[in-house]
Amino acid sequence: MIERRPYFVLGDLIASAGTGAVVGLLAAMAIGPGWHATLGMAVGMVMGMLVGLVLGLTLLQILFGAMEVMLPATLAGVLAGMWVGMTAARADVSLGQAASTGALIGLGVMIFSYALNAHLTRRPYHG
Amino acid sequence: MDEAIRNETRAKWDAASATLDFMGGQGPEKRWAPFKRELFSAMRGRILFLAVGTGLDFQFFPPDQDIIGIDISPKMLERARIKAEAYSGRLELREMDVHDMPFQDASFDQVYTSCTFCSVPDPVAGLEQLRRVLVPGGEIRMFEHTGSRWFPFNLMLHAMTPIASRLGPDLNRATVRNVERAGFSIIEVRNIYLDVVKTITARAPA
Repeated sequence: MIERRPYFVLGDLIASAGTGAVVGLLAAMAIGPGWHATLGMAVGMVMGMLVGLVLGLTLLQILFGAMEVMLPATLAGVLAGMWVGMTAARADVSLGQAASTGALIGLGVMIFSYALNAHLTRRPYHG
Repeated sequence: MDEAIRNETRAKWDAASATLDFMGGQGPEKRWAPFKRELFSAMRGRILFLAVGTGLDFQFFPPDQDIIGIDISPKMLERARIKAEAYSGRLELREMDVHDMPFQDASFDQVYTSCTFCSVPDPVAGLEQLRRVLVPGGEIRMFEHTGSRWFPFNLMLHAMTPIASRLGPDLNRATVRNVERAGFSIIEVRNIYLDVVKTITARAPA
């Protein structure tokens, strides 16, 4: 089933796109040209996992839900961190560009998790 | 169950009791409210509710039921007792470990759990005890979060469990399989969020 309550849809958007944007910003600030791209990607991934997990288990959970925000927020953080980390290791990335890229990745994660959720919750399993 | 594990579990949930209402009382409970209300609406007869915590679930109970609620943590029960006063039926709370329940066989018509078997130290043994106290053919109805079969969520839940389990629950339990291993027959598994948050209805052997 797809979440239709506006408060929680907004919460899911904030969790995914917001975490992606925050991680994108942090990765762009921490990683710069001269880094090896693989190292930038790995550092960005770890940063994304930690930020997503911390936000997902604290502020986002209190306001919007448990697994429903923690899992997409962490995935958005990991992917945004990897992408922005790799990109920032190759060339200068502006903070605005990093945040918007992270937010877009987070939006993609939200759409993916909604689609998978619709598929998995379609009908109950009967033993 | 080993006394050291019992004490460790009690201490973990005593510590968690101070923040549980704040952390879980708004976002998660409001999100899960319709699903819990629907699950608990089937309450009938003598009911055992396992791991009541601070009593966040009481608001979803249908009125005028006959319920015994247990929890291993005395600090959780202190908070739950305040909420229990507002319940219109009989809601008796007792400090108890599911692995070592003093109830006689076939004492209950139904058993309910809510985010419980993510943290019971020996889940299959705990479920076997629940099967013992249920009448033959009695139902267990569970609201649980479990591991996932789906990448990348399965990987993430496995990776997070070593950290999460220090402060609270495991995130990667195979609870549906554990229910079957404990001798129950699955009636229905309904996914609420992905294949992670779900309701499980199962029946004890007749």
